[in-house]
Amino acid sequence: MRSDRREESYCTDQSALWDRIEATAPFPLSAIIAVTERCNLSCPHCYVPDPGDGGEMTTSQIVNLLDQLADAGVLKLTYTGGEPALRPDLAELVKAAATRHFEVHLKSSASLLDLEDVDDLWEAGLAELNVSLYSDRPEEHDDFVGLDGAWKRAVDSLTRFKSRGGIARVSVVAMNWNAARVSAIVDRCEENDWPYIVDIRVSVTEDGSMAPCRFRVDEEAVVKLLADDRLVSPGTREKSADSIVCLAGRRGPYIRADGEVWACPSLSWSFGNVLHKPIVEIWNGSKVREKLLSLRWGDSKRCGDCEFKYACERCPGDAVWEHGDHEKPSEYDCFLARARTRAWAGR
Amino acid sequence: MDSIDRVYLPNPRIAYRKINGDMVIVHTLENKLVRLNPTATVMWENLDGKTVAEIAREVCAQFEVDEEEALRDIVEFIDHLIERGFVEVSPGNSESL
Repeated sequence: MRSDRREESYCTDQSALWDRIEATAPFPLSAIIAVTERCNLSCPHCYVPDPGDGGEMTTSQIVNLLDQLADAGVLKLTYTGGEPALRPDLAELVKAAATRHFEVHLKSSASLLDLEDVDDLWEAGLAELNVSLYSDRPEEHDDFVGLDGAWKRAVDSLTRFKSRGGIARVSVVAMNWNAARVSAIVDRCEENDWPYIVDIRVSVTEDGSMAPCRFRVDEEAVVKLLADDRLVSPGTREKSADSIVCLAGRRGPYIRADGEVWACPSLSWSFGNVLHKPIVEIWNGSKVREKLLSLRWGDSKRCGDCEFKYACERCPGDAVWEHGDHEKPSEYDCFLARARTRAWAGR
Repeated sequence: MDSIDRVYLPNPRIAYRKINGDMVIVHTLENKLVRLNPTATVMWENLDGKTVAEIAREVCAQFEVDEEEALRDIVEFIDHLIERGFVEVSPGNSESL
């Protein structure tokens, strides 16, 4: 028995073991639930449009969904929005997930959280608080999100959550107006031991509005940003004609506040609605998902032959909104691949 | 209290799930992810309020092993889990193994 009881050897690269387990699992190991589309802020680059009349799942509907996701084998659960803290049942939802043995993550502006709320979320079982920062200068952040004091709430919440023992992560979207501040934001994250994600992509909204695109960085800004070694883009890889294009449909579902199931927030193809059908049936029986899974790099001759493909993170969602064809690249992706290639050549 | 009468429980901040018959445990705060084999999975699934001695009896019932060896293995296994922050002693059982 002795030789047979141990756990699998630790992988140095934990993500490699995660990928290996997920590759043979009957359902993805992670899921995202947008618990509301409502938001108290007015960030003009946001991919979530103004809330329509689709409604929000109730507490009991979300708890029912948690039971299904737990049975399906999901380990990591992320609550997002809109602003999740607009829901008075947020701590209850965190606790419901934690008691079902999910690792619970929360994406929030933290602009509605005071220190007691942060403590409550930690006590409820939250593992990671993920907060967006758009500048190291409070007034610039507050001006962009449309709320005085939002930056201070964000930083105070991150500090408190970290001090309680949780992971306080910062999301940074590099835009044309704040690109020069990104390095300073990252400095602040490193000083406070907050892990961070810097994204240079600004997507269209979930309902196809191109309004956020006016904040996209230009090529010179991309080159300058990527001159910082800390901002290496993680998605780059060698690609053959058989390579998959993106992880949409492979990684976990994005479940909208109204129960609609998408592959990711960037691709507005519905697989079904959890209010009408179990999530596993929706996911595994979706013809739309099959279409996504079959997508290969070589399906587009332009992409297959492209000299910048190593640096490309092609997004079928942006392509659908830009010209309607998910099998062809968007001009935005072509631009980003060219810019990244130029930036890395200069290193 | 004798060590075999103690109760250990999963750390409430970790995630775990049985996937394809094996227990997968994630502890992001410690940057740890493991997959247990079927025997260790049985031990893990019995960390539900049972004492160490009771878990040993469960293991003996499912595998060909005598109780003394099972006890030794479980104590070592739990030590291993405590080191990694995957389990903690149940309230009321404050002594470690």
